[in-house]
Amino acid sequence: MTRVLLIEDDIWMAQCYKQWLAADNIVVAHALDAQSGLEVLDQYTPKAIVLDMALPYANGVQVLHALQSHHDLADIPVIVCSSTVPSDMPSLTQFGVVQVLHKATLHPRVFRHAVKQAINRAAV
Amino acid sequence: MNSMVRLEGEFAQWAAVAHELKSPLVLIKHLSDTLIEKDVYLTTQQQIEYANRIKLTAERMLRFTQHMSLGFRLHSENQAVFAFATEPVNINEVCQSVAHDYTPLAYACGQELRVQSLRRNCVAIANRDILYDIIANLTDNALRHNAPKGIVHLQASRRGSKVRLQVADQGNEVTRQEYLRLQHTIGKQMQPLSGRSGTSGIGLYIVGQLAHAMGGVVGVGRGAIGGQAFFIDMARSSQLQLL
Repeated sequence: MTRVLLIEDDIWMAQCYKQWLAADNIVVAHALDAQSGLEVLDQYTPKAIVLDMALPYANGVQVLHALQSHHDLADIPVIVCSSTVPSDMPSLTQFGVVQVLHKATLHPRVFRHAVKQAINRAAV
Repeated sequence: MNSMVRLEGEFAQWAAVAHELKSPLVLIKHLSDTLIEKDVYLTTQQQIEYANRIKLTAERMLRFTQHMSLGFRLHSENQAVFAFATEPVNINEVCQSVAHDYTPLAYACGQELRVQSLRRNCVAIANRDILYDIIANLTDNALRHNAPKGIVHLQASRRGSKVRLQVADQGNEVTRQEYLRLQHTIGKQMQPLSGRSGTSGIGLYIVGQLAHAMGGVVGVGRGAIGGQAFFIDMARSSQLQLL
């Protein structure tokens, strides 16, 4: 079973994403903040990470830095999914970000496609 | 120069309002997409639950825009437009009224709303509608930022010539630095809180302005079991015979 980590502080929004990915038999582990997300990564390595940038206390950029600081986490593909996202994609690529999604215009099929692409990238 | 500074300040307020409105609109969109998308399977009970979440989020946005309207009227150049009366208000009744209106949202969020009223009715000098708006805004924030399956406490208390209405949650606490700054800035500046993502501080700013307009004071403290507590202190009235 394919597992993805979702770091998102809005519970209802996270449940929407879980339902969308359930259609593709992708299981989602949900963390409400950066610290909880890193604790999940202590337990197992997901195929991909979906990351909101606006999180309590530590923001998404700090999460990206933390991921890059661990050799076993640095290669996990990250999809940034946020309402407040910098459009400077090249600067995020160095942090393992493979795609940036804007919540305001996000469609479930686009989200599912992005996650499946990231998982396939991790499999290569 | 003064008008430029004022325009900048107004723009900052508008930007903050836009930011606060965006998140619930995005949520409504996602909830609707989940209901509509044919590949996503939801049981009948789940469909009802998601439709209810759309309704509750829309109601939350309506209350927020009403709160904004009250706040903007305070800053109207024509202050006479926003004259309001104060009167003896039963604060137990206000607490119960807010709790009644917010219980559906609390239930949908998997949280509990508890009211601790005073055993004897207590009366404050206030405008009932504005006081309700203040407590409703604090309650909405508490539910929004509370710990999963947490409890939000609405508490009425009195001390000497003052009465206090407090809303306490069990969510992320503000940092010590923010807490010390809030003691001086609450109601005077917009201050987003790092432990409560997605906030611009405009709601709390307007709460402070409304409280001040009624002759009250807004403050912040720690919750009894972690979390954060926000309160309003008002003058107590001895006119119990009017209840």
